[in-house]
Amino acid sequence: MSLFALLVAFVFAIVGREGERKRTLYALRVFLEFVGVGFALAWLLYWIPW
Amino acid sequence: MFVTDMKPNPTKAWLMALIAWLIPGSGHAGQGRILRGALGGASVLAIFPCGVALGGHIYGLRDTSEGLLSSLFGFCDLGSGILWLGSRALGLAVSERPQLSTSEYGNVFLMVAGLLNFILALDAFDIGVGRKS
Repeated sequence: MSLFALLVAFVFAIVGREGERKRTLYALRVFLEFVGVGFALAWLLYWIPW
Repeated sequence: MFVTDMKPNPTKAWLMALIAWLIPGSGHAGQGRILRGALGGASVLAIFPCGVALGGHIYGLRDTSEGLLSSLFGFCDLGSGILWLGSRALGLAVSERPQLSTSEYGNVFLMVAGLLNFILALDAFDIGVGRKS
């Protein structure tokens, strides 16, 4: 999941922002959001019994 | 072969988009965005084999194994360009492997690789016509 998030974040940053600094920050944000949402959904689904 | 000048040119932009679709990252690299092309291309080229290793398979455009969605999945897979063409030609990862518990993840990896490459190709086109730097 982390590898997937990292690779997708690279591409999103390339096409989504202009400027190296903005791209780097956007890639970091997208990566953290992917991982964070992944963990949040995993815990949410863990407590739902069906 | 590659374009290095920065003047907008619709014909060359279409060509760059086509090349970008065929070889991930080459559209950016061909327009002087070497790092962006290398990073984007490497990302797509890394996601695709991960998907194959996880047990994913390529859907055909006329595939009906999962109803109409199969054609949509096939379109997503088509985005991988030469990887899709090569897989179809060599018969690599074209059949389902449901015995692997990760095969659905693999399918998603393959589709995302294709969709990301479509986005990269569109970005290369935008650079070619001067909408982006």
